[in-house]
Amino acid sequence: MERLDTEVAIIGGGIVGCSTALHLRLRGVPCVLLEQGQTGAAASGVNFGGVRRNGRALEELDIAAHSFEIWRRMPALIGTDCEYMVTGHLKLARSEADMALMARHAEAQAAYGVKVEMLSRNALMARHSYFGDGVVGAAWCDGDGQANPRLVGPAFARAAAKAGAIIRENTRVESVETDGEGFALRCGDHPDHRLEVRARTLVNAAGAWGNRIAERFGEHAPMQAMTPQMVVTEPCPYFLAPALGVVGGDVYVRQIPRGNIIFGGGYGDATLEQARATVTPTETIGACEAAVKLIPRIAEAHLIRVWSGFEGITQDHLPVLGPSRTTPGLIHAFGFSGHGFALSPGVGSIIAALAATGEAQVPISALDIGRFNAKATAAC
Amino acid sequence: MASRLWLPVVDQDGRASKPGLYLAGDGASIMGADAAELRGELAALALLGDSGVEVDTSRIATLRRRLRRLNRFRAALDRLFPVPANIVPALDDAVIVCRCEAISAGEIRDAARQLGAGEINRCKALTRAGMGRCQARLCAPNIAELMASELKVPIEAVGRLRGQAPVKPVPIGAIKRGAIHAAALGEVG
Repeated sequence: MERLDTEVAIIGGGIVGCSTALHLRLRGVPCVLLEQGQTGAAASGVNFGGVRRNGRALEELDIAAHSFEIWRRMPALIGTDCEYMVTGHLKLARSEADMALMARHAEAQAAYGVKVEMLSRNALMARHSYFGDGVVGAAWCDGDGQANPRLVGPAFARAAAKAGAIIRENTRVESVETDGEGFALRCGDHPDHRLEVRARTLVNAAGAWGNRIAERFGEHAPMQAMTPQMVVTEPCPYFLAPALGVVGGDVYVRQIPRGNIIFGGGYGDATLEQARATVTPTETIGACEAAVKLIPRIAEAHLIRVWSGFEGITQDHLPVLGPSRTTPGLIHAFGFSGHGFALSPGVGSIIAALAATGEAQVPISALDIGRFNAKATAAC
Repeated sequence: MASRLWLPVVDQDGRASKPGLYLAGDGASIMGADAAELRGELAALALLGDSGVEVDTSRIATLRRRLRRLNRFRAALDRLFPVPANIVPALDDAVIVCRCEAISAGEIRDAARQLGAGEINRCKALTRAGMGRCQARLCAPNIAELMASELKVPIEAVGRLRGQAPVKPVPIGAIKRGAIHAAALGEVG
């Protein structure tokens, strides 16, 4: 059996875990990251690729601002821009009620420094002539953007390893224990490949599996599997610079300069026991219909590939982020509920600050795990 | 594995491991038109027999015998014309491997060596090799050869690209509820 003694152990090699590892190393803190599969290959690697604040929950906006600052300096930080582009984001309304809802949210977002411009249908069509009849207007956030999700996790992992983090892929944590002073993690079910990691601090960045880790420390964070489905077309003439979403979130579209149109909608099928989500064909049909309704010319493109992936969604659709309420030295960062991609580089920096200094750079108390346990008690 | 390809496992009559699934023709392995006819008939007879229909067993024996002869011929062809895996290390970095996405041999090698892609799906994710219109039908074996050569591992160690629907590009305008059998858009691997 191999044994590693370190300061911080990280469970989960998604973008959150890998960014945490890098930012810990930038602070000189030793760390070991344990990933059950490959880094950045689960929800981190197969999501839509939106980097937006437009329409985002207010509780996440300070974290988004912190993360955007990291997105902008990725070439210097991790050696690649991960195809991050500031293209702006349009959130589309398909009814006047949607418009009113977005206008109210835009006003609330302004207090967080997020500039959102409301566009009537005429104003929208003057800028982007390609929308279908059902679109009645939009909220426009020009500072938002998009990136290639497949590149981000692996790039953070490589940068973290280069900075001295120990990263172990294909290493599943079988048990976690604490003696009050630190944590002991046992990995690998094969006698020849057993690994024990001892650490003073434990970061739970286990994504869709994060609540299971929390349960081991008596903390409750109800979560369900969520399996968004995506479609990509062959390369087409580039016409769609901004990333698109809609009120209700049932369809989202972007195009990369290479020409491929990527859109999502509907849900696949999976349980947490499975390593992979499967695509539900009827949901793909629904996504195609919804995308064509938004932008009729998408009907002319050929679909070349579909995929799904899974993610954990919490009861209030907000992530769990912050120190444990039961166990000193344990920090949670999981359950990003389908919108963690934009946040996760920044979340890694926040976790590293929490682990190293006990203080986060931005307010995160609204995302404390205690909110579920308080509710559970109140419900009794 | 003279072909250096991933092939489905079927019995001599074309039964897959999943009950109710039968394979014949080039979808089972590339054997040419004569073998495809024989395997099609054999798979049909296997399906009928498995469904409780009485079939001509002497016909099955004849088909199996003819197929065995073609199998020997195929094995001899593989020995005469082996996949030239030995030339892979000398292949120029500038050679385009994935034509749909214009990904070069150098980029594949770089992914395997510099970016730590030890497995072909990871290489695809990092480079786009195999992500184009043909969905890697043309380039997958060559990507695998390059990775195996660069990493100095047996070809099977770099794995197999996961199948993703649809098998061929589908015009989105043609996708309407009821117009396409839903299974055509399902997961295939």
